Amino acid sequence: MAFIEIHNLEKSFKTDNKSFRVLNNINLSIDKGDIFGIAGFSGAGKSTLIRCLNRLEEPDSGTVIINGREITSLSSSQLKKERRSIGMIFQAFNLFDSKTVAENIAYPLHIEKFKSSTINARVSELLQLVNLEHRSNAYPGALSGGEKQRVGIARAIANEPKVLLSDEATSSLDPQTTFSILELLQKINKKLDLTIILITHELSVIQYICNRMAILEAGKIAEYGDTKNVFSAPSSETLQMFMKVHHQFQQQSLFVEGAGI
Amino acid sequence: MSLRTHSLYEVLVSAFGPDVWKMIIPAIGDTLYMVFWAAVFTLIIGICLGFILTITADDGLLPLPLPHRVLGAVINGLRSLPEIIMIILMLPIARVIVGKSYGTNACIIALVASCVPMYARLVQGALAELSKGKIEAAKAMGSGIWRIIFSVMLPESVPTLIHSFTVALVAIISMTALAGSFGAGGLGDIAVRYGFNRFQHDVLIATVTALVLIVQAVQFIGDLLAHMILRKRHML
Repeated sequence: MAFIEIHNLEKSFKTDNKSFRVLNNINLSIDKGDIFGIAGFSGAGKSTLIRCLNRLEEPDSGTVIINGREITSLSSSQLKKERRSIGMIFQAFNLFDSKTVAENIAYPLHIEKFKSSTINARVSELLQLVNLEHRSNAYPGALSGGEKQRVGIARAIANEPKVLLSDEATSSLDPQTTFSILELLQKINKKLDLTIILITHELSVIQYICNRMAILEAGKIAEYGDTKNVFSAPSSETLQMFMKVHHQFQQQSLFVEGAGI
Repeated sequence: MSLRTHSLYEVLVSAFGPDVWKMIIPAIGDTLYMVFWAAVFTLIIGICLGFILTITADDGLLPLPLPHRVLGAVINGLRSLPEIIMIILMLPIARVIVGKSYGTNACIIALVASCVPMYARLVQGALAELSKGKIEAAKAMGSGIWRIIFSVMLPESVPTLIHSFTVALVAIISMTALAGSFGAGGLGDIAVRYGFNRFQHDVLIATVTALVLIVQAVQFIGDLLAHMILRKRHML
């Protein structure tokens, strides 16, 4: 059995009398230590899918199993405990503005009721890991986007989770910052043997750090496998479209040599 | 001193003279006493009810449709009563709680009954401004409902809660003036008895001045506090 297994996951949203199927029979298996990327256009259901993994969104049916624990059948108090071993980072960072960087990172440790000396030691270790020792007493309002996401990552892995879910974590960052965040994710993936699942609409993110990937198209898995194999023979409409657009941008760029201005 | 028998200048001089303020200063004390206790109860009960409204809503942490609707209806009902009617309605209740249906303490009960529903709605509004993402992040880290309330929702919304409390406080002050004419004493009582019934315009001017100064001070302190917190958090 794989480290993370998703079987027949279904989710519909109901508005008024209409029901809209967002996830349609999703099946995936993800191995320990994978950096697994899920790409798709807006509205393909990426965000809903990743939020079903820690049940921020309740799936209608199907099962999610992480490290042998069936997440989808946990009671709400069991779920609360299990969530402490599933980290999550967000596009909007979602840091607490009323807490300093160190207090934000300490938040999940306080939930576990560690001694304050243990918490302090762990927080400074994490600050070092994400290169933010000098910002420990700053408030999030004073940080740049990249720094905020570093705090988000430190906070998400404070409790030494087995899995990290990344919900468009780099989508609001500039390319350079995106790159440094991806390097950080790669570093913690190796160092902590952390399995990472990320969703993104940027193919370059997937090409850069994901060893395996899936393409989500209108709530269905359209393509799925090793990143190299998928990119060498793209079969889904989404991926072909992504690549075509990418090429068009390159060819039509006004700044490419010989493009004639 | 009335404008009918004296010039405006004479009335103004008298309004800021020691004789009038000998009467006004104890009245300010009464007013501040009523405002203080009404504010304390409004703050505590209002924040509790505002949180309950937010948390029990359909998209809240603990959706409870029926209690949510009942509480909302009660709050709307209380809010639709003018203060003057609330004072009359609260007379028997005040008699039960403080032993008599007139006086300063009795009026505090009517003030609280009027202001709590308003502040509860303001708290609800302040909490609605909180980003859902922060609460989701707290949930994703395995926080229980109490921790989300006390470590996330409350501290995150403090600046907005202070702002809306300032609004409520100003409303309490103006309601105090009205309660004054129901035997609660204070500035409102002086203004009605001397300024209106006996045409002592100097007293009227002095009470108005005192009320304006109190409201200005409250607004200034509220703005300053909220501003200081936001600046500390680098959110300005």
